[in-house]
Amino acid sequence: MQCSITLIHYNNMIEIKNLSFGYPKGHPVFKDLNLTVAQGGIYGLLGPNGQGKSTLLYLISGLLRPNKGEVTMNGVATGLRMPSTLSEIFIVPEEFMLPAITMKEYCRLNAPFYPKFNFDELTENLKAFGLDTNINMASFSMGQKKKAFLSFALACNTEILLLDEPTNGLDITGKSDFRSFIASHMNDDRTIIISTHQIHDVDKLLDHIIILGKDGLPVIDSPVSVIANKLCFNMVTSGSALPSNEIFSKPAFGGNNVISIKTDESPETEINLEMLYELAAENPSVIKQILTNE
Amino acid sequence: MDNYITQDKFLWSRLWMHIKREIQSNKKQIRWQLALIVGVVTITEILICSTAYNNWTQRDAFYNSAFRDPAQIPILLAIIAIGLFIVAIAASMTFSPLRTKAGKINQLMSVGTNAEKFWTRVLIYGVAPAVFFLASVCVIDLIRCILVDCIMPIKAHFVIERPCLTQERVKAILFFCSFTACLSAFFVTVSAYSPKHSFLKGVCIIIALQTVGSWFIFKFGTIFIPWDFHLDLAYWVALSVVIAIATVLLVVSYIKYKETEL
Repeated sequence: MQCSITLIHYNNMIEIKNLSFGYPKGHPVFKDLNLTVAQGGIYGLLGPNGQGKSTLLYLISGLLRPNKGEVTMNGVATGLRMPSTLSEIFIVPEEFMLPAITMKEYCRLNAPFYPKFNFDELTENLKAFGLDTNINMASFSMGQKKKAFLSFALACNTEILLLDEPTNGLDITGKSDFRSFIASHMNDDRTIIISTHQIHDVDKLLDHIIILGKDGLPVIDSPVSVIANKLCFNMVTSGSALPSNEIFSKPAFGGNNVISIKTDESPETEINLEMLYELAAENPSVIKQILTNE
Repeated sequence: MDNYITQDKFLWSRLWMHIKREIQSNKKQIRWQLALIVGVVTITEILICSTAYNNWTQRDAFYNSAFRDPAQIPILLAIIAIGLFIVAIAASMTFSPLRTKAGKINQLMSVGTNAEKFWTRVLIYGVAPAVFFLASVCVIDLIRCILVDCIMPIKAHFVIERPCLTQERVKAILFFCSFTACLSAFFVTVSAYSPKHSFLKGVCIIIALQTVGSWFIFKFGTIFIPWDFHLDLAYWVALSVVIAIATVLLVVSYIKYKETEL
């Protein structure tokens, strides 16, 4: 008997096709949204308040189902909430619940649901956050709970990790620890999508930037490398002339922050995410055109 | 990943993992609920036995004497009423996590099929309290009998009689169990549709249905209900209706649970 096995490699891990969604009794949040998230990398999901960043995370995780279109992970609709999908998606929402038990007990009960869970990683993360696995989580403060839950989420090693405002409630050292954890837990199989307003907490981490516009469609959906190849972010001191290819400038202490189109002679600069975000909000058509032009 | 936990079909092992997780995660709350049931049963037993027809020094197990002695029917009814009240409260808490956004995320994102997650909660909150209540009534009654026997020994010692399962008793027990299941399924459904204040809402719906039903029977009862209905046939019809309602309610609440979104 002959047996043939077809192996399908999905480079685009998450595919959002013609997605339309609106809450009942609310205005439509997305209309014909198309987006792909490739395997591996940290995606930053940015946008103004109420533009559907969290909603998009809920749609990706299957907590919400689209009115039209589809959201799939490795070809399977996430809205079906199949165990094979759920064991590879972990969402850390802004508000979450932790039972009044120790972290050790929590892991004993929840870790078996995640095949790639690594207890050593969890202990390491908790230790770095200054938490102990033997303390009852009921006694934790909000920030400590967040640290504990983030540690657990990272130790689950799911293919997709969705973080909704992950640095809210974290102290300064917690934020810095969070950045180093994320960086150290990254590998080619794992995709992390971070939705946040705290741009400075994540700007150095991102591999891909998605900025949602006021219509719910992405103004920017580009890898950081592409943005860095097409734009220059400079600080021009007061009195100096702005570059001729300047597309956006904003007064800053001692001069102006400027975004200009990169030329062959321009040196590579570090992306100023805050400036990029403001440009996307102020002049979406220009940035869209620049980034989509080959 | 070739791992059983990621299989998309219904797995008993995963259902058991969910049950274990739910109980362990809420052990403090569940412990208090069970203690409350035992406390209520104990107090009821003491009050009933010391004030009703036979005092607490009766040496016969309650489940036997209640069937034998018609004077104990009010006691039986009181215990049944308390039991149903406990079952209704517990069942109305079945989908209480769906009240909040965080609870919904926790519930919907846990790894398992919808059926596994649904039955985990129904078994813990809809079935287990009824079984525990029945068990505690039997055990506490047994303890009372043994205590009475120890305090006031008589020549003929107390002997635990096995309940005599006559056809009538089996039929009564069967109907009672089906009715309890139906009531539990009703509150499970209310909880699935409206997790907030589901007990109060359930009670209001029952009162409304009862009022409409009473009015309907009062107005049209003599036309539609054949009063010369054969009693045995009536029993089986009633039993089938109760079981059918319970099944439909569970199916409806499962569909609602499956369709739940944030």
